[in-house]
Amino acid sequence: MIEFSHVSMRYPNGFEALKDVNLTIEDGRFVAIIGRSGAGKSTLIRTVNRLNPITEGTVTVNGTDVGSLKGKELRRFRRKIGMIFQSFNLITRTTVLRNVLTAFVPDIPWYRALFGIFTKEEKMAALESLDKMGILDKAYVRCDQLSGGQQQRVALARTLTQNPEIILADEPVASLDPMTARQVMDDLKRINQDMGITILLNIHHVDLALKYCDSVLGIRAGEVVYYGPASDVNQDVLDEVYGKDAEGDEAPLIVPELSKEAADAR
Amino acid sequence: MEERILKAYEDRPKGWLFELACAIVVVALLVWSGSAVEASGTGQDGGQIALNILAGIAHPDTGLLFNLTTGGVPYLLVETICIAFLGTVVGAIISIPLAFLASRNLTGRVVSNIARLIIMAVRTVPPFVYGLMFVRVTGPGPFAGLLTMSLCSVGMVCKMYIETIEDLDYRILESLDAEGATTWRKIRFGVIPQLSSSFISTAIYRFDMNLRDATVLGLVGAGGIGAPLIFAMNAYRWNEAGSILWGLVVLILIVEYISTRIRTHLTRGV
Amino acid sequence: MPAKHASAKVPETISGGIALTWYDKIFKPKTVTLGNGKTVTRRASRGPVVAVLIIIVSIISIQVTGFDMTVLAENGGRFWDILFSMFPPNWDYMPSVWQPLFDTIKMSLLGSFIGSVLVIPFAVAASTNIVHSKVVVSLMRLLLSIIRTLPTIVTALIATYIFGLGTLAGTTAIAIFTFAYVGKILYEEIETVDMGAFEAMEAMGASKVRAFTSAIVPQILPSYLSNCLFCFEGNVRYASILGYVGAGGLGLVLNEGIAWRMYPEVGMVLVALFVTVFIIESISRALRRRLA
Repeated sequence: MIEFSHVSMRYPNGFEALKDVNLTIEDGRFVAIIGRSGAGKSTLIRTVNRLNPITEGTVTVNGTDVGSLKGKELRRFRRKIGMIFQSFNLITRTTVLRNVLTAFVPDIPWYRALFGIFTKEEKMAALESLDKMGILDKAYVRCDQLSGGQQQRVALARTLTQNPEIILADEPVASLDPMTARQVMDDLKRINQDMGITILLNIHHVDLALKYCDSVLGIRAGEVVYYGPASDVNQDVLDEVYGKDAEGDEAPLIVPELSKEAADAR
Repeated sequence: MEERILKAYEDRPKGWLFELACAIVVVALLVWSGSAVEASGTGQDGGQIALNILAGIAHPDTGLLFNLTTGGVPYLLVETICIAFLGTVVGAIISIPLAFLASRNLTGRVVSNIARLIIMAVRTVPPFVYGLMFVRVTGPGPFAGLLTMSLCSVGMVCKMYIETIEDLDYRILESLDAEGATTWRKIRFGVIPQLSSSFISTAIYRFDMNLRDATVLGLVGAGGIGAPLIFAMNAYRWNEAGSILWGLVVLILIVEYISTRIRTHLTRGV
Repeated sequence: MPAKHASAKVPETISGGIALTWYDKIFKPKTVTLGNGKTVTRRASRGPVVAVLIIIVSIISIQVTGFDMTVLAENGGRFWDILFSMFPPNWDYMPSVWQPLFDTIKMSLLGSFIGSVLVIPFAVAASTNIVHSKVVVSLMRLLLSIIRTLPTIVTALIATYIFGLGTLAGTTAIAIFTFAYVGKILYEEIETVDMGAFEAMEAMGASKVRAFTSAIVPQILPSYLSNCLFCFEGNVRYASILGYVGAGGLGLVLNEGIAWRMYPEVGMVLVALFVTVFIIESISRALRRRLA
């Protein structure tokens, strides 16, 4: 369970990225975080594994106060939280398998980490993750020869190999075409349902968010303006989250068919 | 499902054998090299001398440093700069025809390979050999140093000129052709603009390095700041040596800064 | 009809938005006025001033160095005399050349290796994307700069005083030079690396060191090795010079040969050196092509 209690984040130059966030996210949820660029979505997600620090309040993950962790404890804590990124963040010069194996690096002795020597069990575990993502046949291919969607799957496989309790996904489909984006969302949904892993997902595509996720979190200018089931999201909620811009245009319209689909899927 | 994964595991490429072999070769080479290391006279003497040198560097002989006569550091630095400057200029001029001859796209494989071999031979001869040879020609002094520097520059300068020449963009020549330009005009307006900024940039880079190598010349009596440096060190006058070193290092840092700025101006064309 | 006028008043801006510098305050920009009234301004050409500067420096240099074409013309022949007396080389001298030759190679090999490996932590400390303290980064870069400006001969000479004559001094000098040279290239490489994978590893719980070795090293390793090899090539030639100051290797043999005017022997040494450098450079080039 992830709890945010009066969490604020102010940068040294005075900019307030998060303002008094109070939130509880239960285990096993698939949460979509929506909002404008710069609203604080990335900042919020990164406070969970402390890639971003906070200036006030506490973030508690499964009973552990994230802010109090240091050094080795912090690293051990991060083992349980997986993260995938918009630009995949793979080591493109090396093979898919080697990338997935980096999930073991924090735990193995230093000489094995330095020379990249992994045991048979570790390799088998990595191959299993690749198989779960459906790209076992690409195991020995160099990452830069894969398509975007495949690379994101490698990133997901890497994350799965960690056996995480929570997965943070920072705009994972932003640079993918619609078809591939859907495949990745399918994968995330499967992971969430089959393995019960909590997923926090930053996403711009509201339609995808409503179709796949069970909860929606709307952020506007550092404040949480909505947190509830995806089925309850309507035009008013979206206006609240995205605001109306200078010309008075409305926030992304929900296409009626899509919203009916979303309702049916529940 | 287990079987598929097991099969994928078995199929993994066994690249590690090659890497292990490389590692063994490298280690063997290193052990072989270590056998050559010999030293005479290490021990407390060495440590003491190191301390003396450091002391000399920390307390340079400011008298020498600011002495403006021909024996002083500033004049010698100027002499070194002049040697490096003219040496680079002469070297650059000699390199131009050589580089043209050695470019595959201008002269074909045979001629260019021969020219490259010549350049390589010129490059391999150590500077002090040239220094000693030129001292026979002009007598000791900065003139010999200048000539030595020019031949030493040839190696690197030619290499970079060749790269520029082989990168020549022919499309410009094509459009000049279409306008009906004569060969001379084509060279003047098509070739030279492409090459000149790169050539000059290379020459400036080489000037920087020549300044550093100019200390060698002092060893063979070919002028520059090397000679007094060596004398000071041979006589254990570490303060003098320290002041000369300071002068040299400051000079090189300044020149490096200026030359980098000029070179970025050249490449950016502003 | 285009007409050129040197404008009486200084234009405020330059067409094309090119910045004005102090030079333009002295040499005013020129304005060209077209027939239809539109104007274009350009900066005064830097050409003339640069040319004058070069001429002045050349004149000074010629004075200072005593550059004299007549001397060249008269005595230039001696250069060729010496050169031709080196060939054909004295092949019988070869056995005495092997040992110093191998010494030279060993010195460069060991020196290059030590220098390249030792500099790694320093280069990492000089990269702004790994170390966030400006002080440390600037300090490291300054250190590398200063070491780089020291001529190899000088470091070799100092080394002979500290370590005595022999190859240890030469190896040290080469190690120091390689240290500075590879160091600069290495930190420039590290700065331009893609930090994404590094961030992902930190997010997974890896310490900074492990994240570095697993995510960044694979990216820069090929170019690092390539640069080390390139430096080694150059060092073999440098090593032959170091012998001149007593730091071991071929330099000693060459020096003796020239001093005693044993030119065919000197020719032999040069030929041996040439062949060695040729072989090493060819191998190095082939290896570097595979690495790229």
